[in-house]
Amino acid sequence: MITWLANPLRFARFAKYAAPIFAVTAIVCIGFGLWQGLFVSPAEQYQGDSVRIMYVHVPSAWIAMMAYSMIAVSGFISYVWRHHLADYLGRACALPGTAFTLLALVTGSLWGSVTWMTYWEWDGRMTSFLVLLFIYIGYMSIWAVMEDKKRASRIAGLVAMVGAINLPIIKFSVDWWDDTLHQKATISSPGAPGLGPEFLTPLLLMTVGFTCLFAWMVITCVMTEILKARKRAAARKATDRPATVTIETSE
Amino acid sequence: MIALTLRDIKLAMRSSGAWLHGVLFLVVFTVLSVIALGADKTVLATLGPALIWLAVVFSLLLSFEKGLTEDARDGTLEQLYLSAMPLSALAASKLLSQWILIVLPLLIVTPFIGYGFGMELPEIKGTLLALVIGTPALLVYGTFASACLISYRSNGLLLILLTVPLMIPTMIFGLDASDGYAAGGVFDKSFQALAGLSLLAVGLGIPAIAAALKTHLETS
Repeated sequence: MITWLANPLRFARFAKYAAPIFAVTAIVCIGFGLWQGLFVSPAEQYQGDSVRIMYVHVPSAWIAMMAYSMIAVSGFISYVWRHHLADYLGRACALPGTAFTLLALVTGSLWGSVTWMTYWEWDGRMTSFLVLLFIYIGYMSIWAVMEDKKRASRIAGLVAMVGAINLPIIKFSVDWWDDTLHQKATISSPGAPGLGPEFLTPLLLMTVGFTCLFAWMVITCVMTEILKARKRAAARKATDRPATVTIETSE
Repeated sequence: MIALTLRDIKLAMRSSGAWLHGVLFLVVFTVLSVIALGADKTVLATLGPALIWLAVVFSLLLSFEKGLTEDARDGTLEQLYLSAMPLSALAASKLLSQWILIVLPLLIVTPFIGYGFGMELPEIKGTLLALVIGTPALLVYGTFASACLISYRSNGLLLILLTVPLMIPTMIFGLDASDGYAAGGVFDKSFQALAGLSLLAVGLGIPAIAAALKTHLETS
């Protein structure tokens, strides 16, 4: 799948169909999920209506982490095989990833203001998400400040890889530094209480919706980069004529 | 490799004391924090390890820019690259010389600062040992970031932005080790975690620094 998509032409063909599909799915899922989350699902026994923030908070946090993993993997691909499409992909993931990180932090803070009676607490997860935000900003500023894009792509790939190795270390160290307030992984941990179906339905809908929204943004962004690169190449072709070599053969 | 380290040290000695700027910063930071917190020694003694770690981290953040950038600007780096010296050896020798030039002076001063804060002897010892074990990791992160930004001129703030997230685990475990020394000595589990982190950073950092240098040399 990945090697098949690695060709820009094939990617363009894929994007032509995939982008609208993702867009429609995103709109439908988010719309339906919002309706489910705001009107259908009940208020939680202890948290009341503030539980509804979860339907935005949790998917954003998941996507933020997924986006960084994609940046790291595309950084690796771009560093090893010097593939342009991987560069475009990494760059395309950065801004939406940052936005979702910010969204997760803001919604978490709003939720905390009602439930923990404080907008900000230096709790392990919040701190490590803030650090993730810094890493995103660092990654994006490398692309922004380096004029030579070839160099920028390699350095950004390196930084993304080093960040990816360090992220779990940062996460564990910060969790270990302070593991009191934030709820532990509820859905994925074995033996966890899990969520009731009335909460799980809107959450999953929103997650699918957010993922499709993210995919839509990324694909559109990569397509823009491909078209830009094509335009540059065309402009280059128009200006400098290829050298002509005539071979004379004497019989 | 050793020759290269010695060269760096010799050059630094001739630079009329520029290598002492880090120590100066450390002392100034200490004085400022004492003034800000009030000169109450009971408060200062409990905050002591954290303040010392902060001072060392900030002092290092300000020193990272110098080492590699100068070599890149005057062409030394390119000459060394052309001399078929492996870049990872270059990175390792650079780390060694930086540790001796930047970190070691700081470590020599910290016990006195600890005394100034009114810390007990085991606390001072613990902080110093934690710094000895933890600083290689800090140095590696900073050198990696400065190797990445070597071709970008005014890189000070961006360098800090790139380095700080990586330094967080080292600081957390370093401070824990500083406190843990009184309870468990050097073989306290916090020291083991710190040492592991440091070794990991050095092991992964040397090839990463070499790769960043290579990018700079090949694309310029």
